[in-house]
Parts: sequence; structure tokens; C-alpha cells
Amino acid sequence: MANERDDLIRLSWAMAEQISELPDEEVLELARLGGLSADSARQVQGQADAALSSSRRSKLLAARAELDHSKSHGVLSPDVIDLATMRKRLERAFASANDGHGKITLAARDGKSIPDEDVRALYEDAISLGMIADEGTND
Amino acid sequence: MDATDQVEVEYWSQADVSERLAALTEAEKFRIKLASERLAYGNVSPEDLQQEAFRRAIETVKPRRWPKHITFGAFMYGAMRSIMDSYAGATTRAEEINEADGGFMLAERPEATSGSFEEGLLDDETAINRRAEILAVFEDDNDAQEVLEGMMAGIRGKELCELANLSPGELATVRKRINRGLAKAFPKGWNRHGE
Repeated sequence: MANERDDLIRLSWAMAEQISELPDEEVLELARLGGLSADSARQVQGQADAALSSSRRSKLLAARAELDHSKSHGVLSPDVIDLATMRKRLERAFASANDGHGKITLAARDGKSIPDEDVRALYEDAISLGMIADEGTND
Repeated sequence: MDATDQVEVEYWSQADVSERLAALTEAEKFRIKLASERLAYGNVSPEDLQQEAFRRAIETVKPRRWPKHITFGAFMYGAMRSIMDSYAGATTRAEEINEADGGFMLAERPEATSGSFEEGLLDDETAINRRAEILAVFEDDNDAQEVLEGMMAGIRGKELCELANLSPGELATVRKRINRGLAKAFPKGWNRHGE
């Protein structure tokens, strides 16, 4: 590798490290001087959002795989959310979505009549819709 | 250092990191953008670098953990730097960073996005020209040129002050001029083709 290329890379490391430590106002000034726009900022947030979505999908797939494994072995791992917790969270989510107006209901008797399999599917749908946070443990 | 001197490193939780990523401030977005523009080279784009750093910060298995004693900006810099080191195979440098930032694990080299990493490197002639162009931005500023030469040689801190014959305060002022001059002249960094 050419010495000059090494020089340029070392300079970049040092400059990036400095930028990581600058006060916010100085960073905003550098962005202005470099012609960075609101689009540049949105692009960075877009990358972060994509990583967050991907992480949520991975967690959901891992939870599904764990659930399938547990079902096929007839045991539920302590890491898998139990049905009672799912029902409880669904009740809370629906109560919150209702906002006291009764627009959405979780079937009769707070969802107790819903078959277990439907509760699982409903729970996953609620996570996808953002009604329930994707928490992988029991309450 | 004996056992009684050791301070246990505390880390932000994954939920804290996710929360932070979901609502980056304007300054944080620009800080990441500016740092990634400077750090990315070879066939790695700044966008690839940002995404990989975010992914590693929140991945479920062996995430890169954020120690509470360092800023978010320094955490992201460490993540991006470690990724680039892994591309370049510079494991020694990555280990230095690991030690400095509280025990981050050494990153694995991610999949190349297009062509090979080496194919994306600047050719010798372009590198020589870029180096000269950077110094030319500060042709009337001897202090800045000396500091730049030192930074290119990997010299930092006190040694850099001695080399350029500057006090720490003067060095900070010169660095500010360099940051601003290069942000204007090389907004997308200088290590990639077509910049």
C-alpha cells in the first residue's frame, strides 16, 4: 500500500475521532460548511430505522422458532412468553386502544374464550402493529 | 493496578440503545454522517458503514455494547472504526480501540457490498494527489500544515503539540480550522474514488 494512502487513512481516523467528541454546535457548523442537508439527516435516521426493524423481525423469528421448538418438545422455555402473559398484555393493549369507548373488543370475557393458537397469532399481529412492545419475557 | 482499583464498566441496555437510535437528534445524525464519510473507504460506502454500526449496536446475539462512560458519538465512532479495521484486517488497531472503549469485541469482517475491498482503494497516483490537495487547502497556514503532517503520521496529543510547537489550546484552535477547511473542501472525505 502506498504511504500516501496510509497517510490519508490515518488523517481520516483522527478527523472522525475529533468529530465524535465535538460539541453539537460545532458539528452543525461542519455540516453546514459541508453542504449537508435535511435529506442527509433523514438518510441516517432511515439507516437506524432499518436496523431497528430488522432487529425486531429477527427477535420475532427467534421467538417463533423457540415456540415451535417448545411445542414440538412439549415444554415451554422460561424465555418464551406464556399464554397468560400474552392475554394480559393483549387486554392492556386493547383497553388502551379502546380509550374507554369500547371500539375494539377482545371477544367475550377479556379474551378468555379465544383459543390458545389464536391468542398467539393475535399477539404477534399486535406486536407488528406496534400495539404491544416486543418484550421476550413474561411479566 | 490491583483488584481494588478496578472499576466495573456499566453498559446501557439494548432497550436504551434502541430508544436512542429511534430518535437521533439532528446533531447526532450529522455527527454520524460526517464521521462515516471520513471513515469509509475501499468498497465500503458511508451508508453501508452506518447501517452495519447500527445493526451491531442492537443485534440480539453478541451486540456491541455501549459503555455508560462514553458518549453516543464516541460509541458510534468506535463501532464504525472497528468495522473498517475488520475490513482492512487491521486487528491490532481494533484491539487498541476495544481496550480504550471498555471492552468491545473485535468485529467480524462483514460481507463486501460490491467488488473487493482492495479494488475500492485509491490508486497510488490519486492518493499522492489527494494528499497534496489537502495540504494545499492550508497553503497559507503553516501551523495547520504541520498539524496535518503529524496527524497523517499518526501522531496525537502531547506529541502533536511538541511537533507543531503549539500549546494544547493553540492546537485545539488549529484543529478547528482544519476541521472547517476540510469540511468545506472535502465534504465527502478523501479516501474514496470520485469524491
